[in-house]
Amino acid sequence: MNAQFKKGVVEMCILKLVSKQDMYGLEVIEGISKEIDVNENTVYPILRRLTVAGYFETYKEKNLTGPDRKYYKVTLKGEEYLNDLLLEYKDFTAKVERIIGG
Amino acid sequence: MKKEYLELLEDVLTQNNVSTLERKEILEDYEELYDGYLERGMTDSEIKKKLGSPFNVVAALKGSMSYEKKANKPSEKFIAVSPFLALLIFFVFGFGYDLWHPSWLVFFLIPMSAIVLSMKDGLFTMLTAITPFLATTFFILYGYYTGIYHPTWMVYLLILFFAFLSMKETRKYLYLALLLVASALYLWIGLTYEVYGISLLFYAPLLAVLIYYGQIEVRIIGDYKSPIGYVALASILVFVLGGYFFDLWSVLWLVFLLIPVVAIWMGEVGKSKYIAIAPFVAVTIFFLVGYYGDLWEFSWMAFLLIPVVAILVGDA
Repeated sequence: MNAQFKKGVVEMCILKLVSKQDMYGLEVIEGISKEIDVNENTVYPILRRLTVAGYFETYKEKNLTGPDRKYYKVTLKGEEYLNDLLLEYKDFTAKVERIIGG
Repeated sequence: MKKEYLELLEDVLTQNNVSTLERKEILEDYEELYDGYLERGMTDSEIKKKLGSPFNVVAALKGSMSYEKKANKPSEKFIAVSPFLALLIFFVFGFGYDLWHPSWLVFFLIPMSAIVLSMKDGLFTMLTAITPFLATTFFILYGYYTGIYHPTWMVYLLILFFAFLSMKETRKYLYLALLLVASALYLWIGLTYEVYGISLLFYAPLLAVLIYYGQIEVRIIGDYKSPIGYVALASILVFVLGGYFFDLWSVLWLVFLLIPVVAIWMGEVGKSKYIAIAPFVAVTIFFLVGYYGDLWEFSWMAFLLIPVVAILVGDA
């Protein structure tokens, strides 16, 4: 798949995943890579970029079995951005469906 | 193992001028990922494979990071201008006075100015990096004008001297002492009795101690093997033996270029390594063609290889 396209879709998936439930880094990576063939070097830079852009905020939480973990939480700005992405994506795939499905 | 991985990551981030705050955050995040995989029962080598080499990590992060603004603007300008300055001096001496050799040495201005003006790793590390150029300059100038390459080659030992000084362990004083004593004995016996070959054995204790403490070894960082210690040792041997037995002092110093070339080849990712080693290839061609063909006024064109490689590789 086109790398740029894949990155965009993975970004949306990450936002969606974290919007359901706050997650720490490894959880996000595992959640995505369970379904899509991606690795740390794709997911982590996106997590970072989204955090820097203010779509995520982070907080530390105690972890009983090891060092503290950094949790990602979708901000209000992130929610809006995710909704835009989802609408755009659905609109796009519907059109693609019409072309290839007919 | 985790410490090693994170230290290399920190080095690569620092080399890429990633800002201090971001460096800290990225390191914390990767430590957390590493710990997470450890908790899941993965071994160090499995984790390294999963996370990817620090070089790839940083390459993937590019574009999402902010870079430290470098403080010294004028010094950067000087580094940028140094190739043209060197070329100018080289042509003036070459076309004007037919001194192509040894005035090509001015090209060392380029790496030397970059080292002096941009390195921030402490005085002795800086001296270690700059001494190869200074030693070669002295070696060639003195050798060229007096024909005495031996024992002038000993200026190269200054590299070892500064490399030891820049170490943090207290063992460095042992290395320094052995180096100085060996050099003094070697020179004394050599000059007094004219026996240089066998006197090289004075360096044996230093060599033995270095190997014993693992200073000369193939270091494995992640997936990267760095045989720098052995390359350095082999080039010294080739240089001294070839110089001593075949009187090739004036040419064999080129083997020392292998040390930075191997370091670059192992350390750089992607195609940028071709750009980084092009100057060394150019110097080698320039020197060999100039020296053996006495074609200095043409062989300087080998330096055109540097921008050509940069353009060809840079666009890809």
